[in-house]
Amino acid sequence: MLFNSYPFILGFLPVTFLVFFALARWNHRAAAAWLMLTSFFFYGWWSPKYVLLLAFSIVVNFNIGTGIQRLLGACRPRHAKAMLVFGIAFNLLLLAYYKYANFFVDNLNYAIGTRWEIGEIILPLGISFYTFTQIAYLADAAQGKVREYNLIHYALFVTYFPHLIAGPILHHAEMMPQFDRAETYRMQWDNIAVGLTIFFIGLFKKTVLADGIAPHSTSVFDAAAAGTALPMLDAWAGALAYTLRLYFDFSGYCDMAIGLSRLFGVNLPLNFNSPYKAENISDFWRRWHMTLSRFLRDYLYIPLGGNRRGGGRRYLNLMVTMLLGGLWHGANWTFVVWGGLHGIYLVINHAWHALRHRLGWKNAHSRGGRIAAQILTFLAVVVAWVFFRATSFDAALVVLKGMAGINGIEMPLKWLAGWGAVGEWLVQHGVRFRDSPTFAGAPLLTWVAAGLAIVWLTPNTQQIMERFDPALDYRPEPRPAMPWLRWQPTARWAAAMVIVAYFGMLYMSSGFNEFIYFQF
Amino acid sequence: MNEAVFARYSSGLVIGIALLLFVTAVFNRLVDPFQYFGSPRIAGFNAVKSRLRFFEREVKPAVVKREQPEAVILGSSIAAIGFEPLHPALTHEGRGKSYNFALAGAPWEEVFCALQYVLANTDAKRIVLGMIAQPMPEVGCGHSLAKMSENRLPEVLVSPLAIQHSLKTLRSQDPREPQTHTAEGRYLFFRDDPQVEHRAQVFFAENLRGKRTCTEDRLRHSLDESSAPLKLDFTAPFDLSGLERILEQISGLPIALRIVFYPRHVVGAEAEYLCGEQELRWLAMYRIAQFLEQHPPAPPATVQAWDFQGYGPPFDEPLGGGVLTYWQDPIHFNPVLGNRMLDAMFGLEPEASDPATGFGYRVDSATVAARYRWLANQRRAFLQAHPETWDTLMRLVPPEVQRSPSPVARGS
Repeated sequence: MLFNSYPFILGFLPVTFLVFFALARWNHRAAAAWLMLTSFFFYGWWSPKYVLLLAFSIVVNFNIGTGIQRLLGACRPRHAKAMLVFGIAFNLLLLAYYKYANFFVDNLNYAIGTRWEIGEIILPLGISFYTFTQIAYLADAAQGKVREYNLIHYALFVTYFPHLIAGPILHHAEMMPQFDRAETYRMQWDNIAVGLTIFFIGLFKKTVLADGIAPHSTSVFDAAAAGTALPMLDAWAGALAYTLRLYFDFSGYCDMAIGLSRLFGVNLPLNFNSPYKAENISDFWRRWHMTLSRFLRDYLYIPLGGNRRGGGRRYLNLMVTMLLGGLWHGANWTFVVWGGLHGIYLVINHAWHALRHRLGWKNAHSRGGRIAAQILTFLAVVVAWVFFRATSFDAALVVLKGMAGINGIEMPLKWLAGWGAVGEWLVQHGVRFRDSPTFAGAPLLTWVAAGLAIVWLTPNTQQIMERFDPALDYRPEPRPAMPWLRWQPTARWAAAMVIVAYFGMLYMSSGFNEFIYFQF
Repeated sequence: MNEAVFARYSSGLVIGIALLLFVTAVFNRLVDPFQYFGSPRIAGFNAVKSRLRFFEREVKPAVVKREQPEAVILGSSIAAIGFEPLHPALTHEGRGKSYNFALAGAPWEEVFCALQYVLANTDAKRIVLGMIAQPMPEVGCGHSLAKMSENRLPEVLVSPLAIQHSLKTLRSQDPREPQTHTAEGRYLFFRDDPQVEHRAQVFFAENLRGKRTCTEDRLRHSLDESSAPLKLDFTAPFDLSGLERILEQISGLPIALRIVFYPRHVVGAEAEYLCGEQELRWLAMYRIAQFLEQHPPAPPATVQAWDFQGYGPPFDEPLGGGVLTYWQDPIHFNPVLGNRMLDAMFGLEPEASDPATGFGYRVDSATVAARYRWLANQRRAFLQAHPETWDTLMRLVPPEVQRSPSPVARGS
């Protein structure tokens, strides 16, 4: 079921919400069980047969987790560690089969010239997320950080519908105390007001902004996939349109997940914090898909040695972490290249900081320097997104060649008439004027300009809602930008949110488009 | 902060959204720009509808499922324009419902899936399937059927598209504004618009551009070649798995299926000779007829294939000089002609004494060669009498179609 669909908003959500709080008056356990059952239903709406796979994965991991806890309790840490290895292997094998088996066989066929086939394997929705969530749980259990002996609570932690399909990737320790709190089971109007507001801001981002700009990027990347050479403006417009689409899509999803959870009195961790405002690539990864970054750092980069074994090893660890992080997104070499590019960016970033430190240079904090750093980081991210979006390496190269200006510059024909002498001058200097199916002209530029203005100049949802604990462990900025844009439960804000929600729901009807992160 | 403040805010938010959505839904329901509901039609308010063509593939499946017509017309824009669903043979003399479910621009794959949808969702007893004579492969319809079965109510009631087209509908209530579809789904296209040649140019530009086989030389030599008998002993693969599937599905059911190969105006028919495609048409008709004879469905189901192509009236109606009676352009025929075709297919027109020479020919493998000869003779006689036909055609096709260096030797 999609958050941005009528069955969810008008059916599933109100029923789940009302019955949850009705049951909670009587018995907290029954309410928690109800939330778990409805989460399974929410998942099964897409494909009922994969509910069994999800349930199987939960039962196996729960038993491994309790086994680890018992072994630790019996002072048998080596056995606990062996059980942890078994648990991680089980999860990775499940993920490998459903997500990477075809990829592996295809590459093997290519490498050794065979024609093996294993048939089509449908990727179960959210498997990457619930697998990582459970690996984190097992690792935390092995470190004695969590204790869980209640299957219903554990199943609720994994399946809790606001995060099940596309995250955030949760830690058991940050969720279960909230489900144990008595006040979670008491309907509170402040949670409802804050939750609805965050949810509808997210819906607006998804249906109006992300889905609105989506066709502009799709046409460019489809043309690239067909091998069509792209002029410079077309290629840049397509790459920027995708950059913005992905931003609003994922940002919208994260807001909706946080808002939904807040309705039930549970705060989710922040997962998205204006990443395009980042001033370097490390900063970007502290803002983009924050819970995945946290997972990769805690369960991959640090166990590999992190930065504890010298500069060279640190860079190697960074590269390995980012390559695997790229592969996590999908079984395609383009994702590996994307991860590799970010790995290189991070290595360069760390090397640059190390060099500055060695030379004794201080960090520049001038406004111009920060803006330049922000733009440089943004451009590096845009280039990497081309690999993330393209269906093949060749298609990505087509877009990048276009962005580099190899195919020249083309502009819409009607601009020539409007620009008079400037247009003639451009023609003399090699600019071609003709109508292109991959460049929509002024409407597209308006989308891009408006999108970048929102991304760079306005506060994000958490900043707007900062007075009301919008996310777990969220700390408001001491001097917020645009202080007048801070939410209050006033009539004026209610009227504004009615308009935002109305357009969010209106554009929802233009086709229930899946969130991009659902495919991972 | 006081709980009551949050309660007021939350209630106001939910009620405000619900109210706005409700008003939007009522507005779009009343205007009904896509003819999804069919009523009310209020003169001066929403009686003239011209927006269905923007939402045809979403609305028509829903209407056909809701209305449960006894007769359904399937095909591309040619069937959508040319076949009147209110024809007495389809409505059972006005006693039953009928719907034109043909979709503009639909290729065979889409028509096949539309038929699957009709068979799965209605109890249609008479089905007219318009098509170009070509292979009829079976295609996977899972995605198409899912799309056609989607609940479109939210889009029709509360979407920007619905609001936009409702407003346009309100603004276009001038009686001179064209209605684009009848309530029964027939596409009115450019009815009463005299720009026939322009539309033909657009059509040929879209369909012939890039076809290297289309040359004026080929057209010139086609008359000599057409005196040779039709060769039917070809062994090339010809996929009729889709037809086989359809026959299995209707077998034993009270369904009369009429497959009709689209006829063309003489200028449109000559375009096939220009591109060397005329023989393919005959070979396809032969293979389809042969397959039907070898695999008839179990009664009471009946299947017939029909061809109406001719070179005399009404296929030679002059294209210039205003509104035509039988044709929209060289490809799309009007219901005046479509009704005659339906008469013939459903037995309302007396059968010709010689099946190979009458208006309408029920295609069968034994007589297809005779019909081919008859049409070749008719064509030769027509072109001798109307040498300007090729000039008209060459004026309408895109300029890159290869011209002969010398004047066309007409009628030789």
